Amino acid sequence: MMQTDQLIAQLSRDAKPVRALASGWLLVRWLIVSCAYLAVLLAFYGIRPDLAGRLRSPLFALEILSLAGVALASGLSAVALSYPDLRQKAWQAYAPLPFLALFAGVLVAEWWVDASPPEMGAHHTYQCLLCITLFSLLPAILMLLQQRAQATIHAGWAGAVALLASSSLGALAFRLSEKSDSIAHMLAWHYLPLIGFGLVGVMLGRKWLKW
Amino acid sequence: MASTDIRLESLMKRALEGDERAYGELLGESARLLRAYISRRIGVRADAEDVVQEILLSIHKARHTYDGTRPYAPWMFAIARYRLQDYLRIHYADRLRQAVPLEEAEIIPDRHVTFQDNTYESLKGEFKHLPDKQAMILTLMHEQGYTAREVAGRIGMKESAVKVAAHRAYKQLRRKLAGQ
Repeated sequence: MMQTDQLIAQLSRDAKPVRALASGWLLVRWLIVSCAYLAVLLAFYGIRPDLAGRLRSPLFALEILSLAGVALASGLSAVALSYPDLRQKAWQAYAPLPFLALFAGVLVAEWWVDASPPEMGAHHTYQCLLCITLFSLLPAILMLLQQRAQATIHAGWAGAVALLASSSLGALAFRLSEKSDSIAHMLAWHYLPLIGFGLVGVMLGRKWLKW
Repeated sequence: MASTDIRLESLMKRALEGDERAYGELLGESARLLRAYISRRIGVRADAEDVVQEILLSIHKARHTYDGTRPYAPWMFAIARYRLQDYLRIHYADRLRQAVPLEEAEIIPDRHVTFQDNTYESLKGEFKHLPDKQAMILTLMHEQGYTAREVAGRIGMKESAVKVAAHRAYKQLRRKLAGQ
């Protein structure tokens, strides 16, 4: 290998101007594009007709808000993890945790209350998981591409949080269309699979985000 | 130290604008800091220098992730730790690959490894030449089969002190036997 001084001289000659993208802009860009994509999908699938009424239910509103919190906090974490030094704000990497705890608490409360109205529309199961996967697809690709263009040193963790952010955003959007309010159905086909998305993210991250 | 940090940040900001001289100075200073950091963790000098060069290349590749609004050193050392982990992972994987299974080892000792020129009985006679405490410790350990911890408990010494005393006794015996 060449001498270090020669390497430094060569790298200095390659010193073209570089514009560092602000981390805030990375998050906002991801949100804007993802929300536009989800809006198109929702226009196709349709929003549930009783959404305004359901939002008056405190537990439902809290479910939506906490899931939105998980999506936003995970997005923030995914962006922070794409920097080698986490932008020297390590707390951002852990931002999803309180929202995940809140979300889990809301789901437990909904299960406890068990006041879900009977399922509306045809019975469906794995179709919801497929829809959420579709809803999450573009946000996941965009976030992973963003992370790959950066320089993460926590590849597995970054991938996991990227897919958690995308899938929770997708689950949130699909929740606005889903007519069923059965908590058992929500857990089985909407929310517990988010863990699976996270695990897939670990594998994808380790394979794809190393540099 | 704070003035060095500010200087490095300032150099990096100018480097990001395309200032070659500032970039060269920054990389030189980074190499100096990295060499000290890496050489404490990698004993082989040539390997350490290779890792320093890998880190400099990584700094060059990842410089768009530093915007000058935060200290430079934590960013640089985060990349350094990442590359050091890569090196260690490859290094130990190589050593594992090159290791020869024991059953395939071809080294054959030239004498029976359990052969002993001296037996305990023949050594026992030499104990009287040792200080009393050392003789007692060796007798308890080798004649009566106590461990160092048990000996320590019996004679009211610390275990480490028993081991040191036993070691000194062995040394003395070895010298005596070598002189015979």
